[in-house]
Amino acid sequence: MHIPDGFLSPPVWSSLTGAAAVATGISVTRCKHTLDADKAPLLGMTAAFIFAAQMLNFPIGGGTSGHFMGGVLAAALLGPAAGFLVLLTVLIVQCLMFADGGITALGANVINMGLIGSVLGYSMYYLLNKLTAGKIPLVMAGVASWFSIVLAAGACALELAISGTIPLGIVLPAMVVTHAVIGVGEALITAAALGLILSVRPDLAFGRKSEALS
Amino acid sequence: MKTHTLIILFLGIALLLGGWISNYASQNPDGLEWVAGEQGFLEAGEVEPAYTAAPLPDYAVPGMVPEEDKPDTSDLTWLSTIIAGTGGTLLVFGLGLGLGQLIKKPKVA
Repeated sequence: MHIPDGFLSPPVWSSLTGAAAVATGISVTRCKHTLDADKAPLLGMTAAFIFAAQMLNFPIGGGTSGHFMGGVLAAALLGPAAGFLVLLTVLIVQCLMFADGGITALGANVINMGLIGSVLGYSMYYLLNKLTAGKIPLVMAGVASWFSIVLAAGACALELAISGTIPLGIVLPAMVVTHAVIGVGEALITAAALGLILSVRPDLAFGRKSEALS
Repeated sequence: MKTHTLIILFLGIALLLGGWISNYASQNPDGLEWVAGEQGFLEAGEVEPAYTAAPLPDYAVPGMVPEEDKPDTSDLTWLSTIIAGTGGTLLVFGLGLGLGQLIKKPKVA
């Protein structure tokens, strides 16, 4: 759901660019306090996986496709602040190198996929794990990532409506319904990738104290 | 599994997905693009882009993929996607590694 140039009005995209800049500053500060040096190299791996997986549009029927977003996956491994910065890195490269997402809409895309995807997505992942006593973390990662896609799509619809591009009553249901289907793919990929990583390195779940690493 | 083994394993998976499997990705419009088309606001995006210096627009190497105005170009879409996917994955990997070093918790002296 990379928004191109022209979909958002200048007041909307400029406010979201400002919000994205503030979120970036807060995330960097937070990482300086929470990101273990042992985990820092995992940012490269996570960013590379998310970038590559975002290229893989899968058909969802009706002539539409969807692709992975990765916010909850990044946050479940690295925490919400580093997860946000990983999504930011991916989105900047997609915009500047591949013209995927407009440069004026970069802030909006960072808010939708980075902030909602990683930070809000992580909050849901965290709460859902609390509710289930951490017994089914992969299922909860899947559920949280489904919600992260639907909420990001809802935010995108809201931004389009405030911009005067299309009335909310028309765009919101369409975006939410389409992304409710795409979210199933997101949930499956998130659970599979996180499951693979945690099966070989259970200590890498964010919030769990790392064992001595090589 | 050691951290660097895991990183190499996942970089390998990412290169396979981005550089090769991406050739089989669906060409259908994504959720937002489809909604924009259905609801008639796709043309809102047909503005002069503010930034036009992207070297590999739409994950393709210019000149390797036939375009409407240049149908005679030999179709190297496969190779073009491999270059874009591999290059992008490696670039993002490098940037992520660098970012991690910049923002990690400083060692307590």
